[in-house]
Parts: sequence; structure tokens; C-alpha cells
Amino acid sequence: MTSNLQHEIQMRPDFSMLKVSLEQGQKVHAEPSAMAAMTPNMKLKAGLKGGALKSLGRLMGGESMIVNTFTAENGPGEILFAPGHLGDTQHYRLTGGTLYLQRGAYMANSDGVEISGKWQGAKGFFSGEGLVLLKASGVGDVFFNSYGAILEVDVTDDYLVDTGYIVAFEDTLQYSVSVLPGLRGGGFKRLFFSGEGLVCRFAGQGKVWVQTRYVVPYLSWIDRFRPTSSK
Amino acid sequence: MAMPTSRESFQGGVFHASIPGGRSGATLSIARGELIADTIGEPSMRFSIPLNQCQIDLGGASGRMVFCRTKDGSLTIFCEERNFAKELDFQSGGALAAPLKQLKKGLAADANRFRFWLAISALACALLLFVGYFGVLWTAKTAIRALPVSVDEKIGSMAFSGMEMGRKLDANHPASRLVQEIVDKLKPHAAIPDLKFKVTVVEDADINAFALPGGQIVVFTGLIKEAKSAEQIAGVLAHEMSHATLRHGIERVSQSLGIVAAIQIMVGDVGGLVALGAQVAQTSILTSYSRASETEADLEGARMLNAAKIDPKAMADFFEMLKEKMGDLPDAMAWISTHPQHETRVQNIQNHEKKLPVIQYEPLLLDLKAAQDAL
Repeated sequence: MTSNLQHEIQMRPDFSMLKVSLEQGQKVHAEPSAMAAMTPNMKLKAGLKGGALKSLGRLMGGESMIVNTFTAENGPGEILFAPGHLGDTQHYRLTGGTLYLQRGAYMANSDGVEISGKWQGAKGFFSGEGLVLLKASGVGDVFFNSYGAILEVDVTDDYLVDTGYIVAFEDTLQYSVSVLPGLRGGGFKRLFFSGEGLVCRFAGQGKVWVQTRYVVPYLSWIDRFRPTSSK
Repeated sequence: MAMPTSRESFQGGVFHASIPGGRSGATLSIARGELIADTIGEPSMRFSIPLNQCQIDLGGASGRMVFCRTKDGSLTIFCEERNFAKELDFQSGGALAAPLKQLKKGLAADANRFRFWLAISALACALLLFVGYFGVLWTAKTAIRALPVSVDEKIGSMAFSGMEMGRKLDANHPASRLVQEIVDKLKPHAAIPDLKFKVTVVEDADINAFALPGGQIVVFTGLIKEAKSAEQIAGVLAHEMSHATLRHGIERVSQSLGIVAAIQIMVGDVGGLVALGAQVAQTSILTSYSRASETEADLEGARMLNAAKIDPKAMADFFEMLKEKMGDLPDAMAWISTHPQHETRVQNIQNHEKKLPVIQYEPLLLDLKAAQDAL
């Protein structure tokens, strides 16, 4: 049951790539279009894994409803996965708990892991990061990716992370979305014009993975260098 | 003191410095006053905390995870399963009641919040359905008023040709001529000026007359025979013509066909509506109007009569006569049976007549006797 995927994350952190070596009959599940290269004995099967509800949950969590399953047939095989954007890939071993992933962070998993959506309600609405978080649970390996490199933070008490920088966190952490404490009382003006604002407050014991870049500030930075249209 | 042993095991986890990565999933059990965790994976490690040293905490992403810590915080065992808290409470003999009570309170609050939102969304759905249903019906009713009268005519003539009736009298028959002359006299005062009224006298003992959409009017010989005056026939005709000009027929079609037809009308499928209308006509629903429509036709009929200088009292008289006849003519009462209570009708017509312009009524110079004799 506890199928351990033999894997290696290469070219870290900017242009990371995940290499998984499978024994005959072993499976790996991945988001569509993540496969970059593989040995010819890998058989691909696409499908809605875990039924309609779980698939819908993934869709709401910014992922595809479809999950591709690769199986090594007639001997061992090897497969390479690449994230859609620049950035690192992280491995996490699930031992019966749950790992929460930010929208779109899911990349691949082994057998025994279920990927679904977790409704966040108001918490998600106000964080601006979507109403649904992805949830990986079970026993097995899960791989997720970030934009930029990934920093692993061991939280032992309280910790604040800007909502845009969260990649994943463990289920043992309590989390709540709030306005950055210094901004409280400053009114909407400060909230909207300071460029800082909503943070996730983690409490308890567990790990949080923080990415070193957030795509939105990057886009607004690069926007200044775009050639203006001459129309 | 003998300590009970838990029958169940739970899925949870452990935090301890000796575990690679500091954390592992574990299978939990409670035995001999200790909370025991066996880590998942090879090799399995065993950790335990005496229940009386447990420091209970709530947290986790769901807010429902129960954490049990040693006093120095070096070892933590946690679990999210619902029954875990209950079992912990039971096994500790109530020593952990206070923190667990807080958990229960939190769960109840969650359930309440869920129920609240469920109720709100159910209410919103019901409201949306209600507004949607009546909105469509209302829009359809408005749309029907905007349909050209030619649609009424099509439905009317299709229904007419599909109806089973007695022998139709020749247009030159004295009775046919009499009825036609009355219609000609009333026609200029109809609410829809260019509606083509077509009247047919049919051999039938029933005291009956009906109007189809678009101006098709059928009068039974039974009605002509029983009439005391040409004005009474004029009264019935004015009533039936009013059904046509007020477009009650097509309204009835939309009502009996319900929401499907309403949507059909709204999207402009007039052809489909005509076909459905003709189908409905076969079941004679077209000629049985609602009470409100009958009253409306009474009042509009009275207006037409007044405008044509015919005393509307004759219409009331005719109903009165029918009422008296009801006792000895049970099966000839077809016309009445579909119509509202007579006393109210008569009263309504008389009241309405008072509001109409006061004019000198002229008697109809028609030979009813000759027409009746020819039947």
C-alpha cells in the first residue's frame, strides 16, 4: 500500500524537473501536460480520478479534472515531469494525514494519495486566492511545484505568510486569513495602496512551504517594459 | 484501579524529534491509561503519553484536530477523527472534560452555521423558482396580447373544422339570417375593429352558444327556440363576441398548456402555439373560460349592446329565464353549466349598465317568430 516512488528532482530550483523511476506495474499520477519525456514502455491512461465530486473539487482548486495515470509495462520505466512555469518542485511523503496545496500547485502523486478540493468559504473569498484549496490525503508521495524556489518553514507557534506566497501547509496547522496587523485601523486606503494586505496566520505545529516569488508582483514589474502598441 | 482499554484504533499522527522529518502518521489507541501511537511505515516506532499528563489543545486546518502534548512539549500526538475526542474523554474518566467540551461547542457552532447557510440557500432557490415561474407566465400573458389577431383566427378555424357538431344551417336559413343581422349590428362596436366575425347556426337542442378565438361563433338552434326576444339573442351574441375580442381563447390556451407553451410564446414559436392550440381546442377547453373571463365578457357585452342601442337588460333577462328553466330542463343547460352564478351575473350586468352612457334604446326590428317557426 505504501508505494514509495523512487524519484529525483533535478535542475533545482529555477527550472526543476521531476524524474520518477518505476518498477514494472508501478503507477504514477500527474496533472495533464506535465509529462516531458519517458521511456517507451510507459502506458498513459487519462481519466477522472476519484469520481465526479473529487474531480470537481480539483477543478475548483485550479487544477484539471483529468488526471493522467502512467504505468510501467513490461519492465521498469522512467518518466520526467516538468511544471508549467519556472520554479521548484517539492516532494512530500503523506503518512495518513492531509497536505493542503495552493491553487494550481499540484503536480504528481503515487498510488494511495487522493487529490480533491477543500471548500474554504469566506476564508478563501477574502484571501483572493480562490474559494477552494487542493487537498492531498492518504499514504504515499505527492509532488507540488511553486513559482520561484521553495522555502520550508517549520512553524512551532505563530507565523504570518502573505496569501500569495503560500504553496502548501500541513493539516496540523490552524490557519486564518487576516489583514496584516500593522495595517489594521489604517483603513482601506492603506490596504489597497500599500501593496501589502492579506496574510495567512498559521498557528500550531507543522510545516509551511513558502515560494520565493509571487507571480502577480512580477507581472506588474515586467509590465513597465512592455512595448506599447502603436495602433 | 483497572483501566479500560479502547476497542477502537484511530488514524492520527505524532510529532517527535526522533522521527525523520519530525512528524509521522500513526495508528492511535488508548490502553491502560495511556495514549499510544504506532507510526506508519518501516520501521514502526511507538510513542505514548499517560492520559493524566495529557495537555489537550484544539487546532489544525479544520479547527477540529485534537492535540495531546506532554508537559515539556517534546512529544505530541494528534488526531482528527470524530470519535477520538469522545473516547479520550471516556478513558480519562472525565479528566479531560473541559477542553473536550470546548471542542464539542465548536462542532455544534459549525453545524449551526452549516444549517443556517443551507436554509438561506434553500430559501433563495425557492424564491428564484417562484419568481421565475410566475415571471415566465406573466411575460407570456403580456406576449400573447402582443400576438397578431391572425393567430387567434388560425386557432379558431382549425378548432372549428376539427369539432364534431350537428348539421350546420344554410346561411340563407331565416335563423341564420337573423343571427347574422344581429352580429352585423354589433360588429362596428367590437373592441377589435377588423376582427372577422363568422357565425354558424347548428342544429342542436341544447341552449348553447360559444365563441372560438378569432371570431368563430356557433349558436345552437335550441337557444334560438327558447329566446323570448331578438334582444336576448343579441345579449348572448354580444357576450360571445366579447370573448373573441378580449382574446380569452388564446389566453386559455396559454393557461392550459402551462409553462412549456409560455416559453414557446416567449421565444416566438407561433407555429407551435397554433398547433398546440388546435389540439387543446379538440378537448373543448377553448370554450370553457374562467369565471373572471365570463364576467369580463358580460361587462364588455353590455357595453357593446349599449353602443349598438340595444338594451343590455335583455342579456340579464336571458340569464334570468335560463335560471327559471333550470329545474325542468336539466340536460339543456350546457350553456349555463360552464357559466358563473346567475344572480351575481345579473346583478353585475345591471350595475354595469348604470355606468354606461344613458341613451334611448331601440327595439330590434327582426322577426324572431319567423326564424323560430322555420326551425
